[in-house]
Amino acid sequence: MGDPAVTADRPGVADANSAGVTADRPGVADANRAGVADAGARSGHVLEVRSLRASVGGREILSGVDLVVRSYEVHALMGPNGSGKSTLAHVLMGRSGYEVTGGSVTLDGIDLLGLPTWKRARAGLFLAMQNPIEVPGVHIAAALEAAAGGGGQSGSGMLAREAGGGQSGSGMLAREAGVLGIDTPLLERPLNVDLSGGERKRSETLQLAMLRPAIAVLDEIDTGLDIDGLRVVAGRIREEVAGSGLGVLAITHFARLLDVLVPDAVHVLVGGRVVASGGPELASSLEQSGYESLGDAI
Amino acid sequence: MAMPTVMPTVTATAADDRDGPERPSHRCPGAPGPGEPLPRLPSIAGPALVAMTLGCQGTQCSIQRHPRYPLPNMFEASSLDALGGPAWLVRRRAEAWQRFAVAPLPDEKDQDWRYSPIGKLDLGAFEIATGGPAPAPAQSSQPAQSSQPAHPARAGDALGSGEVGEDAVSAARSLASRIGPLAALVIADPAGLVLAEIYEPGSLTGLEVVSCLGAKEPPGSLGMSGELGVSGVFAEMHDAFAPDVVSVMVPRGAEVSDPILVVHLSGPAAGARGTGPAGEALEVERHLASFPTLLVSLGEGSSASVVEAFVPYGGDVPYGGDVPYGGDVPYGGDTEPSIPAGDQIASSANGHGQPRSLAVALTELDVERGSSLDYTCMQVLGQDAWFLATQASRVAEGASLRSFTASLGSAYARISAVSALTGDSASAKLLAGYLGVRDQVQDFRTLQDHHGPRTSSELLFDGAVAGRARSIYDGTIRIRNGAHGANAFQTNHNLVLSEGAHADSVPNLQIEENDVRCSHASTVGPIDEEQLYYLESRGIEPTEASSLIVAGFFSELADRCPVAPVGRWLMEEVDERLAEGSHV
Repeated sequence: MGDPAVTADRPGVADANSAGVTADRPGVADANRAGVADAGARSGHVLEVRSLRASVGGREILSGVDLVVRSYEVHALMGPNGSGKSTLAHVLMGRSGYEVTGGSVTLDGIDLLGLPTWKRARAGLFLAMQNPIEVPGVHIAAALEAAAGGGGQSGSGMLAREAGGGQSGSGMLAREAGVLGIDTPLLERPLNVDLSGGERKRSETLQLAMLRPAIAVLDEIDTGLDIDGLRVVAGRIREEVAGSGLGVLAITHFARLLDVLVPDAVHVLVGGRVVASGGPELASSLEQSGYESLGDAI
Repeated sequence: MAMPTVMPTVTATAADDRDGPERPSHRCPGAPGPGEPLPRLPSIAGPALVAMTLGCQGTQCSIQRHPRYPLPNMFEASSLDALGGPAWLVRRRAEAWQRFAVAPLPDEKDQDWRYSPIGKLDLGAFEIATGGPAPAPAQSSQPAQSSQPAHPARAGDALGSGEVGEDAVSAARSLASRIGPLAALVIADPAGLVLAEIYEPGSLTGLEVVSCLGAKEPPGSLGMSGELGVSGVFAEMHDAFAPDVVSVMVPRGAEVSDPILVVHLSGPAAGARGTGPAGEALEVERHLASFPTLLVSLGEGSSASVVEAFVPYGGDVPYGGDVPYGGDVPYGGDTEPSIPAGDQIASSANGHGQPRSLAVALTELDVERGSSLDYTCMQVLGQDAWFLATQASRVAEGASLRSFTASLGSAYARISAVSALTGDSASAKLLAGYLGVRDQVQDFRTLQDHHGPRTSSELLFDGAVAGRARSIYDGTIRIRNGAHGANAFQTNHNLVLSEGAHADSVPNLQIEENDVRCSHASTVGPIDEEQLYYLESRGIEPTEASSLIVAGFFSELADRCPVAPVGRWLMEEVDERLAEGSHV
């Protein structure tokens, strides 16, 4: 599907359908989305997390996290269970129940911690949830329409795909769903209701692709997906990164996701702090020897 | 688990408790108690009254009358004289009136009326639609020509009471056209059947729509609700004053696939305009009580779908060409809905003021052996109406009922639904949705009454309250001795959308048989925070996210409406009411 013509304004075009899309960045373009011509290419965005501390019910979970994610970059965040990875994701998104006790989070200089969740999203932040919540009776198209229709899309904000390639929103949605292997009937279902784990993750990716955030936090996007699903989802996100500059913070336990996502950096969160950072090789070594091997750092 | 409780009814014993020297406060000053001689209120001096204030002493009960509307006070037996009809019907009303006259009015202390504003009702403020001269019989038993009315009866006639005009009829037709192909269109006003049209292929099945005003003897199932235990002052009031019974009869074995639409025009929802004794124009407050009645009888092995809609109209208020109804325009239409002005809303706040119209409705559904009925009910009366309805269904051996009720209108809407599963393996699916905004009260009382073995019932009532609205759900599953192998489920979900809103949910089980499966579940609470968070994380602002979630809540129900266009109608009504912002 899709127009075989490729985006002309981008060097290093590769075929997204080819296996192992790990071409050098920047410039892995997306044959499937060629018609879009990436009118909304993102660049120059930066999410800065500085000395972030947060607690839940009086217990400190994040004890000073520092991370910087820029456009076109993929950062992997790994760490043992209970190290605070999901807490970080929700604190970034502004979920209630978390108390920020110190530090700062900015997106392009905007103080996210002072904004309600929906404004953080409008500012360009997206969270693909580990456990996407069922919203009975609300269909994905209606939610995306509400998300796109509210205005407030600043230069750094979400560039929800409405105008792309002259296609209607629903046409774009159907096309995206096709790319992600989501059967059309699933689009008729309420958000996440009666979806399998894998279907939910494809749905999260679909929303990411439609909403076009500047920075996406992926909280275990790989869990629930089978191998094929993982390849499709990670490949699609990779295209967003390489093709149009999405910045990614990917929380995961598994290096397999990173084989496709190709992180620029891997960070290890233990006890609410980033205890180690490195290149993709760090993920591989963790895969082999576990977090114990970081004993010194911890 | 709570102790089993009996489905409450107003009994003689309960009545005796209130027959002491202290009269309930809702009675008009000067009105005698049940034990005292009738009539309870001063009589009205003949039919040719000029505009004047009368009624009981005290300003709160005063009403203005007009020579064009010489309607007697509803408390009086003499008002029955104005209701025509065959001898059996006149006798039936008189007998009901005898019971009505001694039945006490309930108050909130009655279990059956707890949480309700019933004590605020001042019956003395209402007049009855008498219907004037009896209309021609409106039988439609002959097969009709395609798309032609079998017997258009009284269409557009000026009636003694309701003055249903052409535009009200055409508004009902517009509603009909939105519901799609119909087997029959039936329009009733406060005086009874106005119009009955049976279309092909419904006409070929022998489907009949009959006004009891023209029936030599009562339809077999009439009065079924009493046999099922429906009683109390409003049941008697209804039977005493209902001018007509609209009877839909589906012959044995007939399969009527398109819906039969029954539109009850109730009202008026606004003041009427008349002429004074010297010919001067007068604004006359008419508080009209009406008694819509529908009897649906399905012969053995038949199937049908009936849609009953309660919509407002504005008496003989000049329509001005734009707004055919005094209240909210049902189902969108081409016109903007006429929202009652602020003072009207205030006057009906949680029943604190007087309603301007009262509809005491009865629907009886007789689902005979092996038959299958879809019954869909839509209530969108105006914000100044009170709606007291009884739905009684009897489901016989191997028969099935699928019932769907949406209640959105009225200052106070009370729907009491009794579903008796009398035959072996009878089944009922009972769905309802309700939304209260502003100061509305939505009140549901249900009884799933299992008589027969292997019967099954599944009830799902979903509602939401916003503004200062309240809702009550009080439901009982009763498994009678002999109903072994019965399955009964009862679920009630309530969304409370604002601080000032409130919902009560009271499920009850009364089980007299072993070997049964019953369950009930109810929830009352605000919008789920996680759902809100999820939508907000997509960049949807909180109010819009809330609206989406509430609409989604109702659409889950609307998707199960037996008549899809009515499900869409429900969603339009929900969207419109929520869009007013009254839920914030």
